[in-house]
Amino acid sequence: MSELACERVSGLRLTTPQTRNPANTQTRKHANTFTRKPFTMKLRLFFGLGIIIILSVAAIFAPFLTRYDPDKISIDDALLGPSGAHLLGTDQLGRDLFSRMMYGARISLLVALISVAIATSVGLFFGSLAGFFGSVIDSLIMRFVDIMLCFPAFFLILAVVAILEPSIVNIMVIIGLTSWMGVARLVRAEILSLKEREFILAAKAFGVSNIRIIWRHLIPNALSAVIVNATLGVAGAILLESSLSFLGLGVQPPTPSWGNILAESKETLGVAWWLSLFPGLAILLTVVGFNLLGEALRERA
Amino acid sequence: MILEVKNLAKYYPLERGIFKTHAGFIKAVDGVSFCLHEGEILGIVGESGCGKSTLAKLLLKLIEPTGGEITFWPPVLRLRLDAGIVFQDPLLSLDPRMRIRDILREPLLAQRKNADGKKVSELLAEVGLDTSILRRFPSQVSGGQRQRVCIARSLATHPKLLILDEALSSLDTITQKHILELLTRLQSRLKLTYIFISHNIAVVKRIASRVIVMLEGKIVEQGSVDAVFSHPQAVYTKKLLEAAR
Repeated sequence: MSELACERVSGLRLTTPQTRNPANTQTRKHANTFTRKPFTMKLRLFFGLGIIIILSVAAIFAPFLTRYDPDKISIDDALLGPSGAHLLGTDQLGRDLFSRMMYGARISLLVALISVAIATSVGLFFGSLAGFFGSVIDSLIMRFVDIMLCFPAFFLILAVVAILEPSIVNIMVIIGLTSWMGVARLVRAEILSLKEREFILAAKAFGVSNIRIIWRHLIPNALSAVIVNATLGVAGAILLESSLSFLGLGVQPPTPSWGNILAESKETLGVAWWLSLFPGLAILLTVVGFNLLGEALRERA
Repeated sequence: MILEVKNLAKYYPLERGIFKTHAGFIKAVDGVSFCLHEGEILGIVGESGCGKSTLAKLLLKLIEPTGGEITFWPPVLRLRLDAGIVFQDPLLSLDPRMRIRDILREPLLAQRKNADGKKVSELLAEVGLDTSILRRFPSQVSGGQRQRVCIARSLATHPKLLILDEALSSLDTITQKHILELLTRLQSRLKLTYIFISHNIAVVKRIASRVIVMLEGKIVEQGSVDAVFSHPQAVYTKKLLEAAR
């Protein structure tokens, strides 16, 4: 699980340069002009958005959609299989798995969204400064990015979490601050090409300040690529949070998150298949959903 | 006199090989001197790559000159407030992600001037546009309208000098004619001074009063339009006129 997550997360960063490769998209576009490309794009958008909307509704309205308190222990009902009373069964402490997963969706999505928001803001900030001002500032920022990328991200996070205490806020900040480098590179590259465009020259000619040029012209024009990247980043962050929680260094029990539900299920794997299957499926579906949406957005952009 | 240019030069260093050894210069603008009087339309003609656009950018301090002086008269004139520029391709010089309204407000906001709706609709009326396009993006209006938006934007800060860098070149002939009429009207009404950069001799002949002929960064001939175009002295001017015929 953690190995898989590692690969996914580093893969997330690597997708950026590949997707920006114009030759690649061009040949693909050309080959598919008359085939089913628009249809698959719509399909991806439909399924991606569908999964994400269902999940968000589940997360937001969790208290209204569940019958049981997610933290209520009742030893009598321990390890019941899925049934009418407990839709997805109960865990070894008799807590309702469906409730725990609904509340877990809140935590997992919140952590993923906020950490991606942090990563994107930090990346936008450093990337736009590096791209716009160039020379010394660019060298300093990009060397710092290189240094950050030298550490294997997952182990850096593990080390930091081990030093600080693992709380939800810490997890969000740490995931955010260790995954902004890809965004910074992407934004820098976008801005390097955008700043040579004539409308930037025009803005300069009318005395528009540098900050305003970055904020009003460069960032809005770079944003579509950033949004695609962020969407794909959410999928990575969900996996990262799950793997941290699985290792016991993420969201701490009894607060439910998909990762720590999965972690607790290890002990009863032989007798209660539902405890590992459903959280695993939820993670899989969410990641697939965000990836589909990201892909669809990228093709549209 | 509104502008005096003395020995203006812009050299780009030429580097060669992996060690970037110095291999001479590209002299984009090389010792250009001229002066510009108030209310005048000065045409600058020459083939592609002769340094016309570099000259325009130098005048607005968008790039740093290698040498020479640019003096605005009277010296209280502030460069980016009192000189505006219109570029060749309006689609490239307008931000694709900004609505026309924000594009027009931008120079006003940059100069901390009043940028309310009334001011913007006045600007639009000045260039003969309807307020209905305010909410659109540059890609949603026609080429002629786009160039009018560019002109309106450059007029926003009430400049005395307008630099038109190939402002008609990306338009079709009918639109060119309309924009040319608009420019002439604006010039006499607002007492503007134009620097009209173009490779189109016929258009320059129609609008300009004085003309500068450039070749490889240098001025080869300057004088009144009549004198230069009917009795060209320099060999290059003759060639240019022949090619345009």
